[in-house]
Amino acid sequence: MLRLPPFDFRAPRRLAEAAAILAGEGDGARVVAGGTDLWPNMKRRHQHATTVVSLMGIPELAAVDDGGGELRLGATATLAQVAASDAVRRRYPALACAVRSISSPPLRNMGTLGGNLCLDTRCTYYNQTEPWRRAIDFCMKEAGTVCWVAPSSPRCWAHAASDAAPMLCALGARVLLRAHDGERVVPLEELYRDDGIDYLNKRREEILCAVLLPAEAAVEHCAGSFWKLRRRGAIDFAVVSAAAAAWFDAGGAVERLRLVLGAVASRPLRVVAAEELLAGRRLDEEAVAEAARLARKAATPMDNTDFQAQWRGLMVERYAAAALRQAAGLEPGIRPPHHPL
Amino acid sequence: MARRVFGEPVRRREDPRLLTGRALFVDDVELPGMLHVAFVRSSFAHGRLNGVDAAAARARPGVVAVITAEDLGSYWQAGPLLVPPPPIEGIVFHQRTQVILARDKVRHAGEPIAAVVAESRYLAEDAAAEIYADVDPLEPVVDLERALAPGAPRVHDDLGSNLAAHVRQSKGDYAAARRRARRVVGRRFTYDHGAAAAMENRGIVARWDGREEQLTVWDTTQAPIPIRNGLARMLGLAESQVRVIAPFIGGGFGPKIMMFYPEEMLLPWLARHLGRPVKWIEDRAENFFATSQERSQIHDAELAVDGEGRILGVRDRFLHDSGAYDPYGLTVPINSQCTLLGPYRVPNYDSEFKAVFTNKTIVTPYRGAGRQHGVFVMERLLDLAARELGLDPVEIRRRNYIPPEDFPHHHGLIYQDFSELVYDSGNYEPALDQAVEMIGWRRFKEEEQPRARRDGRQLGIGVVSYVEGTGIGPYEGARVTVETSGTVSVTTGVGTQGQGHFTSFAQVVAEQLGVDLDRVRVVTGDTGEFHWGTGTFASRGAVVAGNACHAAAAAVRDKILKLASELLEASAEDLELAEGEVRVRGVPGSAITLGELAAKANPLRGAVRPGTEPGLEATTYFGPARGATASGVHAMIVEVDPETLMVKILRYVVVHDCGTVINPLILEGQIVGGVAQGIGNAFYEQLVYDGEGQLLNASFMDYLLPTASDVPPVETGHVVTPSPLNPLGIKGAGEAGAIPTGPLFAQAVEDALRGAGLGLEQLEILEIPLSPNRLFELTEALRQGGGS
Ligand SMILES: Cc1cc2nc3c(=O)[nH]c(=O)nc-3n(C[C@@H](O)[C@@H](O)[C@H](O)COP(=O)(O)OP(=O)(O)OC[C@H]3O[C@@H](n4cnc5c(N)ncnc54)[C@H](O)[C@@H]3O)c2cc1C
Ligand code: SF4
Repeated sequence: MLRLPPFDFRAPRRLAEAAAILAGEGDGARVVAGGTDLWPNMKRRHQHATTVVSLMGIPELAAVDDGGGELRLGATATLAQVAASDAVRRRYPALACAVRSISSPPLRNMGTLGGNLCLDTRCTYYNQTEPWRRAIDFCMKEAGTVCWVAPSSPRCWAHAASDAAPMLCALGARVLLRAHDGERVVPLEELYRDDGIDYLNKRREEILCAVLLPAEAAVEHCAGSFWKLRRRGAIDFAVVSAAAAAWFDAGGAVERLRLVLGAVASRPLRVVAAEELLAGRRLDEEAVAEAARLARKAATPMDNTDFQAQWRGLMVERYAAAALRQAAGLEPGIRPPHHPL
Repeated sequence: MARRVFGEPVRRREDPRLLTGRALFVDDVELPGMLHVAFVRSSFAHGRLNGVDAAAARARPGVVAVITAEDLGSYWQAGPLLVPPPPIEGIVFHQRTQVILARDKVRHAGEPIAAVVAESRYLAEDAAAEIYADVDPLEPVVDLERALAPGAPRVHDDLGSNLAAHVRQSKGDYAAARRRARRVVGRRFTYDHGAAAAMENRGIVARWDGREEQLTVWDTTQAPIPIRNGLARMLGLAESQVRVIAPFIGGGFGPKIMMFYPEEMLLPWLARHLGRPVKWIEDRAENFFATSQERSQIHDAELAVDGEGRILGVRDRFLHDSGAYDPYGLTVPINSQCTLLGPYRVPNYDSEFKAVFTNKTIVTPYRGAGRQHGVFVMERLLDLAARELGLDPVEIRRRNYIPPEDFPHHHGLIYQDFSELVYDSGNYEPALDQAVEMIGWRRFKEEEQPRARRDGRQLGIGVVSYVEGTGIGPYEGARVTVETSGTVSVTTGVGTQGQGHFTSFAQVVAEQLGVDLDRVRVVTGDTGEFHWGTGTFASRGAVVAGNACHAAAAAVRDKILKLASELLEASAEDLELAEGEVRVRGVPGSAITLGELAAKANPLRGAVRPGTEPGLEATTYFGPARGATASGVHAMIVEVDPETLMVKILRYVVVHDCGTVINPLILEGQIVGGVAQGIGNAFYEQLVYDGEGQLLNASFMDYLLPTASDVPPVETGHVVTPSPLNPLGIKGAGEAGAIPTGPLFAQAVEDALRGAGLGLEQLEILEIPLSPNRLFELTEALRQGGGS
């Protein structure tokens, strides 16, 4: 029976108190929100903690504030709340689509937006029980020195698995981080590092408090889209995902565009080459096909998910194309059976 | 007249209890002083066990005992052989059954080595983690063909090889038939079935009451009565000292009919040994390693046909993976061997299999129980032959069905129940016609598929048929009692794992006694209530126990009529049973209630006539001469994306014949649930073992069950050909939905991708399960090969 190791559980009512505990407890402390990622990881002994600080008792972290300009989503708002939020559905429908594609209704009722953005990276050699991992010997992401996916590689290639992250990066979201000694706001994109082990650009004690969505990314200014490939119609993580956000000029040409891929690198992967190619062009079939090829080139799918890497590379191209087509108002080109929504 | 209930789509009466959490499951049993058990299991597939060091674990707080093979003393034993080899000439069978705790050797990953008993499961698990099993790993036996190669490591040292069994059955003269054949198609087929993955894992609670000298065991078993009898024998108790209760169970599907799992032998002994109740609830990882599964068979098979596509004969040689032990005998491979023949006339058949011991979890029946493997081979062979002859899949099947006048149909083989394989009744063509009509075969081929292709969409269609041997003996019993309150109690020995027995048995009895369904109370799966019978397996509950209920109810009805005719001074023919009363037909106000009659049948004073039995009660048994053969046709339409190779099922049609239907709603549930498992088997589920014999995907994160969004609505149709082998005319339906989905999937996907101008004209799917990834590999190979 998988079971949690012993630890101290703290549930402060105020943010400042949570920040103080995290500062005081040192390396052994970490936060938990919905626990849908952390608890299983602790049960499988991937992640360790001597003190776990729950954020769920802090009311200010859960709020969704829509003043009509920037939309502020509290970090502990559940995925279900985000997907059902009137402001999200009306102003950022592509985000609602991405969040709805996460796992299953019970998980979305527990899991939070902040937890989703801080999700541990994943790999088939890593997301296993402890005896399983011990049997093949621990890899680099844990106590070992070798990567089982790419044995000659000096780094870990575990992939960023969040579905909200690529979409939010495409929409240009920023995040508010706070610790006992102050707070800062950074573009979400800058929160991530291209490293399967040390995947977040933040200090351990910094709490992600809110996600800020710019007004310019709302649907009246910006065309967003999200496509996700997964094995079954529910529960499974993305094997590939593609998020696009496009701003068009008065003549219908692309003024600006972001294309971000999920599950094919250790961070949400922006395809800058494609973005540059498309700037100033009309988003027609030819442009889409060229950009999609660049996306495939940029992605580094490894043999660490359900499917063969070669096939996933091919899928990157198709899913990037689907996301771009949809942003351009064209037929997405993938049959509905293969889109979960 | 009372409302007719037999044959009606009555809603399941047990559901409110289940849905509101008021049903008792094994894990709900909490007893004062109860201890919890955790197991130390082998992490190696194969190894020499030198010893177990449990000193540290024994010293931990809260640990009451650590038990190893040595501590069991004379109780250490191997489990019984449940099904001896059938009487087939020349059969070779080596019996090697599982042991309670490994002693000298471990033979599969997950085999129990030691048990820790502690005040809580957490303490037990913490202690188990500190036990050191000293194992020298041995080279594991994993691959079926290599297992039989000379010099291969041996799972059982005392056997000369890994051969568990060798069976050949034949009829006619295949070699001669082959010489006459116009075409012979032969291929190698691999069919891999998976884990049953029942929602509820296994669990056992055992209590020994020293004052009453009574052992009570709550067990998630499909066979409480044989468990009771076996435990009594092993523990040296009288059968009446042991009570086994199989309460509500969250799905059986076969692995819970496997008997005397190590945990099942150990827990009752522990309760007696320690004098305290003990509980063990299997976790999901253990379920993958330690609960039996079904797995792979490799068939080298060929089909000989004449110029019209009529079957002249079939030859098959196959290997069957038994796993580390074979307590269930040869049920699974014999089922494959016999069910391969399907609904077809096969005049010449030569089939030979070898069952192989491997260092993997034990293989015992899982819904379908080997039938899938055989059906896949036959259906694919027919598709291949049809293609060579330019026939369509519907036509080749139609030409080969056993005609309705040819029943009972004697196959001349020995079936899993040891009797000759005889189909009792059947009428296959109407089911095919209905399925083809429902799916719109012609319209699809002539309009929809070409139109979709023009739109760049790849749609495919398939149709397959199969038979299912069901309702085998030996027997079941039932007791029906009319109580003085007017309530009717029905008690039977089979256990229930979701089949709706509380409703369907009540329907059978209510019909006979003219009472409202709400007045019938059904009890199953408690040996304290009824202790003769075998269990729920082989699609036999409704057939065998259902007919026992029917017979008992009929006997009670006779008693009611006899007593009532005396009291009402009317002849029995003039009486009717309705609304819980007996009335004289056409005489208003002449009624007496069943409750009153029951009281009169059990007087407190006065004399009764000699030979009179008290009460309105009867216990009756039913044993069919042999199994009843159900049949059916499945058809489906899929859409395949030629680039992602994701498959979406657009339509799924089942036309089924299980004889008389007791409750169409429950039948529908059985079929749809079966189809869901069939789809899982065909496209999502696969137990992946590596070269070390380690199961790589032992969690639901990696072992993919189909979800509600992957299973389409299933459209059903029925043909009713009653079985002559039982009074109700019933055939079983428990496994039907799951059996033919694999070949159907293969046929429909091939149809979608061949002929679409994609360079995939040569695509042949000869294996199950599939996945988008596997389809990618198969199609890439063809595309790379580029026309060669
Ligand atoms: C079966 C299953 C299927 C899943 N499928 C998907 C899927 O399809 N797509 C997908 O995107 N995800 C999926 N997930 C991941 C799912 O856990 C996350 O999507 C979920 O949002 C995590 O949120 P949480 O609140 O439960 O996180 P937690 O488990 O509470 O936390 C996750 C991590 O983030 C940290 N953390 C949490 N909140 C904060 C904060 N405010 N500040 C700083 N650090 C924080 C925690 O310390 C922890 O390391 C799946 C998970 C499971 C178990
Ligand atoms: S990518 Fe390599 S190092 Fe990283 S988790 Fe997977 S196996 Fe381990």
